[in-house]
Amino acid sequence: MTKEPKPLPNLDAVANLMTRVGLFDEQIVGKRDEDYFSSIGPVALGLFRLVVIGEIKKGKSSFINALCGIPGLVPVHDDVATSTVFKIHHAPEPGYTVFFQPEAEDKTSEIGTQKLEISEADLHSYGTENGNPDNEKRVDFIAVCAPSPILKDGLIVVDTPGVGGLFKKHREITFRHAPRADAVFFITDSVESPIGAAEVDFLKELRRITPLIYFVQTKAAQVDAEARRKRMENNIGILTDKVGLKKEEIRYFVVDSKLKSEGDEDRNLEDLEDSGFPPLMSYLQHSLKASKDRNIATVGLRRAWSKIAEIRAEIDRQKSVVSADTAEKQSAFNAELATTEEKLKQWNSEIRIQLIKEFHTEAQAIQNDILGEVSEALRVGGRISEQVGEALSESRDLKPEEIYGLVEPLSAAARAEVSQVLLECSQKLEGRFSALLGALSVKAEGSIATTALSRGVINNATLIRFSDAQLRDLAAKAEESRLFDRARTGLYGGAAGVGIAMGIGAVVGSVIPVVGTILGSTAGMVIAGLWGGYQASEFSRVKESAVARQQVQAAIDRDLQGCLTQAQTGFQKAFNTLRSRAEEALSDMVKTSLDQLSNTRQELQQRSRATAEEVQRTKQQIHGREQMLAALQGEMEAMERLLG
Amino acid sequence: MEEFYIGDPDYQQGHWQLQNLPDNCAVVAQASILSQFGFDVSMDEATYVAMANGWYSPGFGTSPDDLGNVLEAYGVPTHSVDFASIEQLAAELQQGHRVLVGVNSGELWDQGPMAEFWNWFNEVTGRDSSTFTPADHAVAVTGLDLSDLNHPQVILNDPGHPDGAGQVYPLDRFMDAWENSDFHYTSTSMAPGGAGPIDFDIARFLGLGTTVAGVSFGLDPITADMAGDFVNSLVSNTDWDAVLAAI
Ligand SMILES: Nc1nc2c(ncn2[C@@H]2O[C@H](COP(=O)(O)OP(=O)(O)O)[C@@H](O)[C@H]2O)c(=O)[nH]1
Ligand SMILES: [Mg+2]
Repeated sequence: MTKEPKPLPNLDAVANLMTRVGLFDEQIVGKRDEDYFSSIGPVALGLFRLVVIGEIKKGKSSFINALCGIPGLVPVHDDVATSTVFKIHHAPEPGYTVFFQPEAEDKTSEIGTQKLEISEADLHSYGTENGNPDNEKRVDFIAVCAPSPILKDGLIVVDTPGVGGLFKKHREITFRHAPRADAVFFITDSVESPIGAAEVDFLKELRRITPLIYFVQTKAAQVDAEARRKRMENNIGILTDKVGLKKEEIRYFVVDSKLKSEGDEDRNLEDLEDSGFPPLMSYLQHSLKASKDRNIATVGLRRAWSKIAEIRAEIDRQKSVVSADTAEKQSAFNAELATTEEKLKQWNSEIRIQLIKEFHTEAQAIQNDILGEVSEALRVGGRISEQVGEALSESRDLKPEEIYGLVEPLSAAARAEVSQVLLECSQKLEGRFSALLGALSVKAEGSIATTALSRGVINNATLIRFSDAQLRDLAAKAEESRLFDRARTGLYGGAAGVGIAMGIGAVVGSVIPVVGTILGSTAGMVIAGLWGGYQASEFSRVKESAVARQQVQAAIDRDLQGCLTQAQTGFQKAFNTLRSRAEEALSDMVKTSLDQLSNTRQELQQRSRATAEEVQRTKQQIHGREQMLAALQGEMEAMERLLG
Repeated sequence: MEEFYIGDPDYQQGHWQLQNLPDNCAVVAQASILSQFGFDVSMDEATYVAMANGWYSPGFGTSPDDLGNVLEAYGVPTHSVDFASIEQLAAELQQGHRVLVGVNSGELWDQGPMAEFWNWFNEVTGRDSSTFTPADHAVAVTGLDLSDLNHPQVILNDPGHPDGAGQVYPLDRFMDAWENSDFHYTSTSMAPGGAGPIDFDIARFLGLGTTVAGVSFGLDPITADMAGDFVNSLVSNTDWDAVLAAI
């Protein structure tokens, strides 16, 4: 017997229902709506990205191997240090593939084109510091196929290299992997020291990027119960006092990965229970993953609703054709079709243009705001540059060469700040664009309905589902980053909206790589730019440290200027994608409606020649379809109630 | 009267097992199905796998969402339907699929007059829904006995009942108990080899559920099973390169 109170959204069942709706549509329209079917993929997959972060040797890799139940899946640190990121996903057969970074100059090469399948034995030469010092082989990450049941419903686990106090690398990993993580597991252990100062700094930074941080204390069985408990209390104290987390918000698990792996060997339930893994697994499945699933299910159902509405409209259209059972009715219907077509064309040439104009004005305003904000932070003399200046002025007492030594840490800090700004701005942009595109879709469909629509003439499936207030509400929620996925596709009821929505991911999609390159090690560039100046000052040692400060500031400003240019290009790319997607969607909407009109004309012609028997059969078929639609709709409604 | 079954309850009866923990019914029901697919999986092993993956917690049991995961872990594909109709369930049995459902045990089991009273009380006070008395038990539906169409019967393998192999309940009673899981079922997407032959024509079955609504109007039915295969193929054709590059 089970005592679990309320069923969770079952993504498999949602995807199944969505598929049946799509197959039914295909049966009626005679053509598969590939776009609709492609929206089922994410629901079927139920992607959940779990990123494991922590200092070297704390037991990250062992934890992942235990979680997946596969010993040796990712290399465990004994005397070699892991140097690369492992991304682990489900596959029936185990395997490793190295993905290389694209050559810096070669901007055209696509990600994923440079890859190499390797055997477990080769992991050493690509994935460790010894085999691949300073990442001279330009490894981006290693993909790991794992036949592990826990990964079967879309869980992806990311193992990050152990970083021992190396601040710069911490940052790079954080900014590249945390923004899109559904959960970050921060690993500490029971034996060595409690959470230290470097980790506290790191966690503070991490918190600015994601609130979804959970704590795992490993190696529990290496100490006694009292020691583990003390360590945990100590750590929680540090998290509340130094990192600033609220005690009730902290989720903290104590596990022993070795014990779990031993239990796996002979399926020993006692070892499993002692390992501390069951409550962690349960939390991962029923709390973390379940709430993500709920979002995915909501988005999927919304998509299916718009399909259902299309189907209903199509059935109505077919009905109106068969019910035109006299020559008079048929010619009246024909006349109606002609008028509608006329109006639609008029809408296309007048209102659509007007809407696009409005849209551009609004989009431009958003663009100006965002780019303004970015520029204010990054430009020479802007916020970040000023912060660098302040830091430099505190170094007044240092010797010139010591000041030059500040170039690297200061530029790293500046770039981290830049990355932060870019992430925040891209999130803001996504929220505001969601609202704008939603409003456009509602307006377009609303005005088409009032100017050109008459019942059964064109497919009015795309009628408005959201009021302005609802849109505003959703847009406001979209500002909370975790709701992005939901807002992005969930916002739109209409066909145009769905078309547009596909483009929104492009905003974040084209900014994150920029963040990546900005954090990438271009510090060399800064120093190179400074080199002439440094030698010059070597030449005349009498120069004041003020000159050194000026030169450092100038070098970092130059670097910031470069970042700004990159950021502007990235954002511009996103804006352009969104604009053209929006315009395309509107044109598609008109084209679909015109196609439908001409279909109806043809069917009407066939109708006039049909025998009574044929008409009777068609009527029966339509009746059957209505029954089927009602049944599917019933399931949809029930499912929606389940999601609350 | 002519005997008329959908499914193969007799064959499945031989694979029934009584659950060995108070709350591992769903796990044991899956182990019993695994053995029909030729896997030698003990109850303890199945319990281990479920617990290690968060699909079974002692004291809580298995969440309906996780029903079928143990089967999947051993490579038996499944699909799930919420708010299913009895016709959909029959269509699965007809294809030899193994079907698990969530039920409210109190409504299913005969536990004397008081149990009947509470069932009645919940019903008349409008509390007979998944919100108030959620499903608390998982059983396998092994067959439908339609010999007497006026009194259809459902045949279950119930891991929670000492005489649970091939238990027969009136359809009404089963529906009342099943409703509390929002008519959830999880079905294997294939039939085990060695199962009995299936020769029932679904079109003979009365009623107009989602699956068979179209049948009587000459439409091809769209079954949960077809959709399930589609969904499973979507997952196995995931473009992982693109997914991984984007995280
Ligand atoms: N007993 C025990 N040893 C562990 C545990 N986790 C990690 N270790 C050991 O700690 C060392 C470092 O582990 P590893 O997973 O490579 O740490 P990483 O650098 O954070 O990935 C290895 O020798 C592991 O065998 C644990 O939970 N229990
Ligand atoms: Mg490691």
